[in-house]
Amino acid sequence: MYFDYLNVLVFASVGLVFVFANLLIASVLRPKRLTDEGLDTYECGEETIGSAWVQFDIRYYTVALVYVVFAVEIAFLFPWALVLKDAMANTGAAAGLGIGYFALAEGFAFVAILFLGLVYVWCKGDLDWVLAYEGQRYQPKFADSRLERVSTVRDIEAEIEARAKAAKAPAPEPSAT
Amino acid sequence: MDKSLLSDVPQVAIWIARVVVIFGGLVTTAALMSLAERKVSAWMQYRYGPNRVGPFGLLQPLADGLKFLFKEELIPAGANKLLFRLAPAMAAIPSMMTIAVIPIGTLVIDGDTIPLSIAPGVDLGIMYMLALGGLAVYGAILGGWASNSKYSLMGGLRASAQMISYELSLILSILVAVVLSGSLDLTKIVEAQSHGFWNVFTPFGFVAFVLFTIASFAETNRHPFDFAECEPELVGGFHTEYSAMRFALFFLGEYCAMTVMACLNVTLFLGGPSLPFLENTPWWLGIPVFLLKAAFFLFLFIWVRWTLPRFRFDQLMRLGWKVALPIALANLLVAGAWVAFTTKGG
Repeated sequence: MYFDYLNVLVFASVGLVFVFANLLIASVLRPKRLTDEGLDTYECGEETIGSAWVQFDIRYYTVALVYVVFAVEIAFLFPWALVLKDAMANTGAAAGLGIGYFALAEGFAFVAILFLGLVYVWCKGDLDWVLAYEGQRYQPKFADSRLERVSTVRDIEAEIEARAKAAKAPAPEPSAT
Repeated sequence: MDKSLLSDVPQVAIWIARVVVIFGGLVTTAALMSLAERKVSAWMQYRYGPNRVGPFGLLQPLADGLKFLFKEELIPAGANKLLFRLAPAMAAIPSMMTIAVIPIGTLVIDGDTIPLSIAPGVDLGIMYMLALGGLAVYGAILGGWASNSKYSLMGGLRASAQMISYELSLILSILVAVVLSGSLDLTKIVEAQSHGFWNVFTPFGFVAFVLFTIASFAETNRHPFDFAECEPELVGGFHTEYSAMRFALFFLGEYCAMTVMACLNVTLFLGGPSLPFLENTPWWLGIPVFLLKAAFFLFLFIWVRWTLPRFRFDQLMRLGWKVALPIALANLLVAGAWVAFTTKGG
């Protein structure tokens, strides 16, 4: 078994050698006739304006953060998935422990907590990609998040404007239901 | 017969032969995929596709490779040189390495059984694949950031966001196969299915199979989820600024990742090198059967690309987080409960 891990290591070095050998051969063979225009960053033929290393959308960061939470929790499901069969049959790693249905219930409880986490970020609106700035924080644009109705930034701006107008206008009569 | 044919051959020679066959096969598959992609798209659009180099254009990948070698390489003046040079290797190497634990089948030569896999006994096979597969994100985001180009940065960010979003449902659907066989060893997962009852034949196995297939499209940045490239808006995505051999490495990494995903799908849910409903599959049928199944999924990658339109990014995120993830979580529980109530003893 440990011999196999060694195999993997040696195989990894085969891949490393393959990749860097290719790069080396190419660096020997290819021409080098660099010009200032050639070294420009591509921007559809226009002259490059500014650096690309600017602030990017915070939502990528939020998604990464939510991913980290879930990935770590799912990592704890691996041992559960691995021993569940043994735990039920009282064999292998779980022999003599008699944790059968307890193990199953633990799994359910754990996934239920995971699910609560998902519900939490869902309600916070961190899973919605199209957001509108309203008041002091970003919020999901539509409560029902039906995507057909969400399209461009311009739509969102129009919506904000409309709401601002509605807020200024005198409140309409409440309709009888 | 007291001496088998292979007893005089040193183990190292057998190991080297296995590495050559599998690694060569993987790289050749990746090269042929680049041809198949153009050929199949041509057939679907009523064109010929590449047909000048060799019979049916079969030598086209070789010609492409030579061209990549002789092309000048440009590194933008504003780029971060070190990361720019490193990123293609970061994308290519992990995706090639993941093939190591896939059991492709067994060869029986004169009574000796040789597993056609580089490391058949790694008991953490799935962990190894996920660990290395996760590294592929670095290639995309480092390449995109280091280029110092707006298109590249956008492509890199999108690629990483989508890869990590779908990784969750990918892992959860893999866990269904783990629960059903009680092992992280891919060889054991195949053994558990080798009597004709594949994981995909159970309802939760089927759901996991569908989720895995969808997630594998997103993981490899393929249509309909190819926001990493997204030609109409991002030019070339995170490899806009790449040229020559380094671009080829990104390409190689993508096709290797697709091949490995297809193999993993076959291994986890479609019984690996076994036939359905048969108690035992003869060993000589195993390898062709495995390759045929994997080839179907590789074709599916191309088929879907030229059939479905691209998603919008918010639709992608919604599908990943609000549809696939809850289904995958619930599915794992159902699979766990089924295993619990059908396992005897305790």
